[in-house]
Amino acid sequence: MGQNKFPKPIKKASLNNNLSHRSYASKIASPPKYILRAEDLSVGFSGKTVLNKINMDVAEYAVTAIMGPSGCGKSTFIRAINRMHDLDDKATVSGKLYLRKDDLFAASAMEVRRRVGMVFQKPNPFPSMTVAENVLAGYTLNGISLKRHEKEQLVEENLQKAALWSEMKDRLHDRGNFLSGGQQQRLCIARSLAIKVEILLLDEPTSALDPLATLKIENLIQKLKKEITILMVTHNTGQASRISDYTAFIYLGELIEYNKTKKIFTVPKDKRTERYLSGKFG
Amino acid sequence: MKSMMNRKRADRLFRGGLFGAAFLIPAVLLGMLLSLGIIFFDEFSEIGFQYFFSSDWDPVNERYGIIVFVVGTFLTMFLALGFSIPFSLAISIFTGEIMYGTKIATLISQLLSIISAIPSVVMGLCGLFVLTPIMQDIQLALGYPPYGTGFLSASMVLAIMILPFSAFLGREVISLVPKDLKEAAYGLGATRLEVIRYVILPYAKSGIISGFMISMSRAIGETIAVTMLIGNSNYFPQNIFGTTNTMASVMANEFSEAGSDVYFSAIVGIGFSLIIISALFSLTARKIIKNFY
Ligand SMILES: Nc1ncnc2c1ncn2[C@@H]1O[C@H](COP(=O)(O)OP(=O)(O)OP(=O)(O)O)[C@@H](O)[C@H]1O
Ligand SMILES: [Mg+2]
Repeated sequence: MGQNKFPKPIKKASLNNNLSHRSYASKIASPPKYILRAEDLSVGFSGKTVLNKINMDVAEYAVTAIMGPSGCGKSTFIRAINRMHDLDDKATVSGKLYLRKDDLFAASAMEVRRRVGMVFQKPNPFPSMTVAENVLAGYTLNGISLKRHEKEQLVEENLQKAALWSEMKDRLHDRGNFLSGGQQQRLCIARSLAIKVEILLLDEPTSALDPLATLKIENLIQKLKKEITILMVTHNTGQASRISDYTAFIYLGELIEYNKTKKIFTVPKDKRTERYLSGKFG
Repeated sequence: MKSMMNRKRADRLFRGGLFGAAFLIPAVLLGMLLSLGIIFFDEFSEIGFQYFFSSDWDPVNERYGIIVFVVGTFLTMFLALGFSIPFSLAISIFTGEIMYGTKIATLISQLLSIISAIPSVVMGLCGLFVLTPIMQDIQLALGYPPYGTGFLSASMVLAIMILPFSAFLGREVISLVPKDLKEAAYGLGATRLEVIRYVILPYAKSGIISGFMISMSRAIGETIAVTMLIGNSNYFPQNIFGTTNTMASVMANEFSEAGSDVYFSAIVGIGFSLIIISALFSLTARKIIKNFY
């Protein structure tokens, strides 16, 4: 993760010049240090455009929230980043995505997914694997064999990172699907962390959880951003304002507004953002 | 008020009907065991206990031992299963995951149902006309007597006959593996092959194994095709091309020849034992499946 690999952020002025006619979002500042850049990213299913020319930079070591009413394309957006749409013959993706300086559409999908982690709305640990095996699943699945002490270290380290070690250290050999929903979700986070992803995508990670489990995940996300970049979809505006540094508002497949969370929540520039935040739709 | 009474009565009738239907099955099974058992044990003093332990079946000299047929039954069953497993798995994965929902997958499934509907006697004939000449060539080339028939030929045809059962169930359980699990695996950078191996197959494991169990119990009872191809000799196979008999095939083969009451009872006894063995087999199979989970 050396700084030398990092592309120079495009200056605000040039960004404005390049993108000024595209959408409101292109006029706002790009975060100072970004790790991920989407350029004119569009996704359609069977010819119907669902996501329309998204231009957005995602800040490194920060939490970026994506909000918007149901069906606006939030999941579609983050699933494009780890190339999930490759699995769907109906999906067409165009535009560009860069992770650091690497063109994500030029690399193989497997490579991309090893660098871009994904946690889904419904916790999905592998039911045929134990807690420890779930943490190591990224290695097993890629056919990488580890020595015993490497395994033990990876399991402990990543369960620690996912704030799950103290609860799991005596249950490492239980089946992963016997945990509570919140534990399962943190196990899924540990599973991504274990393969040392550079950015973690979370798609409404707490919408299936109770308030206490939600709080734990929110605290975890806050803690994790010191070592990893987080891009999360949330339906919950309160959650976005509590834990994110940047917030993007997507509406009908367009990026309407993207700014520091504080700014968006205090002085939204677009009427639609304002209406969404005041609970008028979505 | 009246309609309430009617509904109560309808409910009672309905429940009675369900109970009746549910009890019919054990009753039929018990009846079958009893009627076969009565005929069998009627002459049991003549047949003797060595029936269950001897491999000497010689009706002319009134010696009856069924071990050859028990061995023949399990031998052909396991061999047929062994032949069918790779194909069954491949077809299950192909139609349940890789090509799921496509025309090709549907076509393959339809072809399989056609195979499963072909009468046993036709399969036996096809085996005789297609497989045995090939086997004869191989046997000649390897220096064995060219019978063409034998437990190997029987097992090969049997493998084709039991394939649809496990392939269908395999396809079902594989296609039911939740999408989110597959996505989680792909999301960790796995290839399709790795997803199949580490996520789909483990998840579908118990269903796939159940499919093989169904195939095996079909193989235990399969009669006509096996009778036509196995060579019908009442001793253990001498080599891998050897001839022998299964419990079902010896019954079909000798039933019409049974001249004496003892001989007849001894044959009925094979049927009786076959029911017991199948029952024991499916009970163990269930246990094994349970232990897997
Ligand atoms: N695989 C797919 N095939 C066809 N259409 C799809 C597919 N996935 C999403 N869509 C469509 O794309 C649109 C955006 O869906 P998406 O899941 O991205 O919305 P979302 O913003 O995540 O909504 P929610 O908040 O309900 O999760 C919807 O109209 C949806 O029907
Ligand atoms: Mg969604």
